[in-house]
Amino acid sequence: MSPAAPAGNAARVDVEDTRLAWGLLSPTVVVLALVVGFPLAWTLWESLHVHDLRMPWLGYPFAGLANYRDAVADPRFRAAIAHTAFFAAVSVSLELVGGLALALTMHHATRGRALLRVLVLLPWAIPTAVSGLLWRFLFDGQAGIVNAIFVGAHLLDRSHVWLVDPTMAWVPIITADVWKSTPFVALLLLAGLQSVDESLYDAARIDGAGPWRQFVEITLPLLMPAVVVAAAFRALDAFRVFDLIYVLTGGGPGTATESVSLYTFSALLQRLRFGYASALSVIAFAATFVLGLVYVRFAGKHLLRVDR
Amino acid sequence: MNAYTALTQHAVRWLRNLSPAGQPPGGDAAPPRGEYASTIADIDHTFPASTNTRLAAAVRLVSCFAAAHIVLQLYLTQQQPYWLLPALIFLFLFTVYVGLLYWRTDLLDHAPSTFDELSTAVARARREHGPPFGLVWSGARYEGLVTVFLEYLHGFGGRFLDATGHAAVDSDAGIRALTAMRDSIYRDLIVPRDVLAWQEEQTRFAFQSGRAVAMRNWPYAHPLLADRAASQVAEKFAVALMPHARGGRSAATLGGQQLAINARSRRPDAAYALVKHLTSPEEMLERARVAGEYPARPALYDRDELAAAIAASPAQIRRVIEQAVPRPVTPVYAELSELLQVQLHRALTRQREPADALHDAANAMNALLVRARLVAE
Repeated sequence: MSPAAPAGNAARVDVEDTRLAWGLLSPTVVVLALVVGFPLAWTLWESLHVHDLRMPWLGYPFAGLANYRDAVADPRFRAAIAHTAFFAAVSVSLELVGGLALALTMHHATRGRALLRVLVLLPWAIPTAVSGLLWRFLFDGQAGIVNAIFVGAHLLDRSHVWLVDPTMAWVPIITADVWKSTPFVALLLLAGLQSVDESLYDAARIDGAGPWRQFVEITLPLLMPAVVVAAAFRALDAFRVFDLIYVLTGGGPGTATESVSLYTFSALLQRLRFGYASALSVIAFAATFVLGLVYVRFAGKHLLRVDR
Repeated sequence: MNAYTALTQHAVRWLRNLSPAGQPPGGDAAPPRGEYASTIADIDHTFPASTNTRLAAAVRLVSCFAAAHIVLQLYLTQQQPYWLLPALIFLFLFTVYVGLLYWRTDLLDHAPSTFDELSTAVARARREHGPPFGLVWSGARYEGLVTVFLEYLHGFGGRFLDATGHAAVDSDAGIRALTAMRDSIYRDLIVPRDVLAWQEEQTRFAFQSGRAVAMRNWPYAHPLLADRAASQVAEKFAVALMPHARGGRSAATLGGQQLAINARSRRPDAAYALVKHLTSPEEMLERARVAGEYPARPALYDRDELAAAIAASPAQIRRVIEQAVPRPVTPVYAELSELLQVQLHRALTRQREPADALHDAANAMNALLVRARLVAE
């Protein structure tokens, strides 16, 4: 509220407006406090305790930051963070490149546009658990078509057991994620492409710029806001990856493809270590939150500069 | 005090007398008198009449508490917060599962008794007759892998926990056992790499379609494999104990099902009547015939009906059950197993050396046991 607000009636109206505004907002605030604030606070509280349902005789003692200290020292948790970061970086990069290519194709397609869009969206519409199973069958060591193709083309001399190879297991995981999420990125980028003013290209053509020059100087810079938004959505999504890896490898072989969500899940719902798993959740939440904050600021800056 | 209460108290006292390391309870748990006394006698006479089985039964009970959904349910409803032992009373062994070696009678002359013999025989059978796989077992990262490892471990003379209740999987025997499992995949090439993603059913599909010389699986596979309409190997297979290392002794991992009555049941008598029916000799024979589940009553192994029902020699099955090894008796078994599964799978996928993997597993398991205050530091 402006400190220079005129005295008298206007000020009273301001106060009434403010009250009204709070009154209108309060249901939302209450709902958010209930569904976001409360669980968050409870998780935080849990994370400060020893609370192990498998060991009820230990009780529920306050443990301070012990769970956090254990988490930081836990090699499996550290590895899970590294796996998640690797997965997010590789799959989101591939999705951005693939999504851009798809978006450009859809944008410039003169015939069959509607059909093309439906086809592109299909992988996105399939539930992740289902597409995970699909890819698991495709990459199956015995009956999988991927092995059949590679062996048939003499790229492999014998069937490879993809899902139990600590390095190669990433191939089906990332392939499945890229296959599924590229359409989403493409759609966001297509919207961005369609908002670019056509007259800019006309002007560029008159100035003698070729297609590549037009792409680098006009399309890419003007598409940046859409790219940043798409990257933000996908990176946050990829950081929480659970279902795809759960279905494909279960985090294995060993724990070679275990993500943060998967490890937290196993600590919370399989081993029933409520206190420790809460600490893991809080750490994951904080990381995602910070990542989101940085992105929002970054994206905000970009959008603002473009607006000017 | 009615008979049901007496039974509850007896069961609870019996369980509390189990020490964490799984030592047998002292002799103070005398059966209560009354209507249900015969029931208690029944518990004592379920298969086999050794403390092993009572302990194994207790393991299953304790794991029962550990089973996520039960604990979670009780926790969420707050019917019986935290100390859960009195929440259920345990009654009966229902069926007995044991790990078995299924082998092809048309490809091998006799059941191999040592791991070396198995390797040689299976390799020769594959060369001569050409099935793509030699031996298959469930090697995915889950409880099934631990049950297979236990058979190798005991076959090499190792133990899961030592007498003080500490993890002992990284003994010399343990390392040799895990190395043998790994070598069978990568050196002897008798176990396909695929098994590292397989559970019981995938191994059964491979064996049933004639693609494997031998398989380690549970009794349930028997009637399915013997079904001429669906199986390529009907009448071409037999069961035996898993092999052992030279100078060692074969072991079969013990599994099975138990029936329990909730102490808070509103109809304990109806529940008891059901348990009584389900554990009756006739019912057990029926389950053996239909589902291949071995009865938990030793007396049934002398009956001709059982011989007809399970298509294997009851005397032989009885010997297997008597050599069965239960998984450790500890309320944190599920967690111990999970720690072991990860390290076993790392060694079998060649991310770690067996010795390193087992040392890490034992350290993590001991740290867990200390945290649970089940062993001294």
